[in-house]
Amino acid sequence: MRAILMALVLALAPAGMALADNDVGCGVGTQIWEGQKGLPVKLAASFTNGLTFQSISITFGLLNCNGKDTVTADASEMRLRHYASQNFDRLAEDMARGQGESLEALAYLLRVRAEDRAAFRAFAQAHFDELFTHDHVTAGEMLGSLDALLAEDQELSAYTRS
Amino acid sequence: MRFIPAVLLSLALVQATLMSADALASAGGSEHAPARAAVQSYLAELTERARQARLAEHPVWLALLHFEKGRLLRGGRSHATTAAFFLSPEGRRDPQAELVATLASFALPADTRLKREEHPQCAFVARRHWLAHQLQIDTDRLPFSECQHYENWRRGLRAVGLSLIFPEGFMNNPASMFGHTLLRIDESRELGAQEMLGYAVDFTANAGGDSGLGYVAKGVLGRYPGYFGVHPYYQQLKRYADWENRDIWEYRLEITDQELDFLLMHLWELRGVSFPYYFFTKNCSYQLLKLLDVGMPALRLSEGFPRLVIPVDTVRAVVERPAVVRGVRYRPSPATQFRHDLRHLSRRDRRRVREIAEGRLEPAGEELAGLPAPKRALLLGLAYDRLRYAFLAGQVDEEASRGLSRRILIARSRAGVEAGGEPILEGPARPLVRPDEGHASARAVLAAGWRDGESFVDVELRPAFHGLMDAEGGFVKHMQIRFLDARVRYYPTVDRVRLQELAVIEAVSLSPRSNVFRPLAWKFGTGVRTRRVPAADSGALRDTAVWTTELAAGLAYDPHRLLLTYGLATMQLDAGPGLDDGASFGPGALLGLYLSTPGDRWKLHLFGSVTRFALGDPTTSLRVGVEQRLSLTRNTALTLAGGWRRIARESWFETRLGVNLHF
Repeated sequence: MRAILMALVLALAPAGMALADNDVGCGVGTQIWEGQKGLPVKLAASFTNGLTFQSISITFGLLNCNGKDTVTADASEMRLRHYASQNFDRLAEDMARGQGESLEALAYLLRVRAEDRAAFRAFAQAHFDELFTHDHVTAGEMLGSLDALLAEDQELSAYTRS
Repeated sequence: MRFIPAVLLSLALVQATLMSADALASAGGSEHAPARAAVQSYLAELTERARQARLAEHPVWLALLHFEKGRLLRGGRSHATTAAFFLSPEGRRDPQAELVATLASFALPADTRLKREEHPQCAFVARRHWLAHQLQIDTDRLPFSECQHYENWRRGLRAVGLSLIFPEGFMNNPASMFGHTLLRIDESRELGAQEMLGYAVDFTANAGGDSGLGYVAKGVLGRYPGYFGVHPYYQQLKRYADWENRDIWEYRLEITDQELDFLLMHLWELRGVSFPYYFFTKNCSYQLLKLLDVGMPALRLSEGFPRLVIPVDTVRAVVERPAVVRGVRYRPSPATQFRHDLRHLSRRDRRRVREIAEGRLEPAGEELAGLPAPKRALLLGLAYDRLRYAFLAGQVDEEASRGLSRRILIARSRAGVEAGGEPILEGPARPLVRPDEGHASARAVLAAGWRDGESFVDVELRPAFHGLMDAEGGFVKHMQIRFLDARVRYYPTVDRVRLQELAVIEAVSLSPRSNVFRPLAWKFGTGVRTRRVPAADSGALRDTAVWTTELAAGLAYDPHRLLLTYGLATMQLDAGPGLDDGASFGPGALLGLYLSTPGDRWKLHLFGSVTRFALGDPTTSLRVGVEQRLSLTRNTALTLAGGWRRIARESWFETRLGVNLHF
């Protein structure tokens, strides 16, 4: 009885339930660079009380599908790229503001020491237009520019990745 | 008292960890494996020892198998439905058989690969860990495999701490109305930005492409398989906070390294293992409690949840255990912050924000350049957010929004200020009441009153969840979910009892609209109700029971944070033997306002409604009423309601004074 009635309730409920999001699950390397371009990352999804409408793979790995791939030396690089691409629009906003949790998390992933954090925030803000040079900048390009700019910086050159 | 088992277990875990470390070392370095026969005889010895110690009945073993004790005629069985989770064909129903088979599988040659492409010792690391300690397994006689995949995974998690995460309810999706819970694996015990880099553990079911009735029926009846999953927490934040605008509460838990280690070992065992997902009972929140039970068995968290499992009740269960929660963080959604900031702007500045976001005011133009830098920075930041919401709502195309958002952010970066300094505006204040501190989910009401000069006593029972007139602290504002709400009325003068109402479900969302957010206010309810109808001969009113279903949609506005006004267009269908033609159907309207005092101690609701039953039994029903609530404590309140009603040509007054008790 309860089930049938609940069914009625939900059947008549507002739309917006069938939107799908192709979650990043497998093959991060490919997905990072596709479909995540531009500042406002395209998104449309509905995730419910533990019931999804997506055919997401059951992700158990960290940045891979099944947790079987060996953790390689560039795991932290993968993590950084995944993070930047997944949080691209918030990150862009925080870099322009020179403040915010997304920017702090980026600093954490780049292993910026506490005493250099203030300089890093100011750096991101000051170089914003050099990091986002055109409308279709991807997270990967932005990270590349960041690396090149950091290399030239007197205080922060220790934080380049290459 | 209840800490003693925890301490013992912790010690056990330490010891077992040391043992398995030794085991790995010896397995790596040994030149010759012990002869099969010797292993077999040791296995027999271990199996016998396990039987004598009755390990198969041990709560930890049962928890590792997700075994549920039987009830009445049905025997106990594991909730897991994946065959590969069991090593014995009888494993699902027989913990002893599973224990024997598990031990036997551990003795299989090191190159054995079962269905899960791993040696059983590595597929079931938590079972191995626990049995190794319980039976004092000698790894010279039963060699332990090295579990490379598990070790990689475990290292990659960088687990140091654990948090319970509660995204608040989301009214625009019925399945999310009650809220949701997940766990987060933290790589630091400190607060900071690294929190968003943790890994979220959740239990979800995939409904594939189903929608509507089939989806709901399957969701309620457990026809979708649910799985545990691990995802970066920032992805979940994006989903809940950025897309669904839900505020999130994060409860950092007190957990020892050993407890966390064992919990994660078990989580590893649950890869690809399915459990039927029941929306109301064995849902995400329940399964997370089951997982916590493995790591922290002394807390017995899943006990006391025999039926309805409401996510916030599981949060309460955790918070109520002494010394389990180390701290709580409130994470307002970007939408909450945005609304908060806008409220501090002048009308003129709000217009500027809108014009920038709509591309009518140049971000780097003269008008903005003339403003002080902090003001300019604030307006540009809000304009970016606004553009983002417009884009998410599909009001702006992607190409246009890209260019504009970059121009806005470049102008924002040039406004400087705030970089590392004080924020321009203080963020939204943390609500005074946390979700776990809100009123309890069930409610009983005792009330007395008069209808049409006749006195009555009402008794009401509502198992779940929250009403618009209840104290709103800890709940999503402007929403109502009444589930199986039953009200029985007794008229002492004529000694008559009636079921006044049985609301099977009633959900109402009165999310207020603004320039940016334009939700629909809506209401849906169905259930049995007593309705007064004019008798055919005399025209006098008499009570009759009808099954009533109501659907409404409209708008709500909050001109002030203590005031909410709404207007809904309704459609109502009543069916019952007491009606002409057995049914009546018609459109109507519902208007009202809610007013409360700061702190929500007192709340007032004024409303008026009209329904014109046009088809079937034709009548017009008018109603004007007022309701008040005065909170006494978190779980008790006094209510006073009164109203005037008119049906056909008869009208009457009704008043009611009641006591609400949440429990």
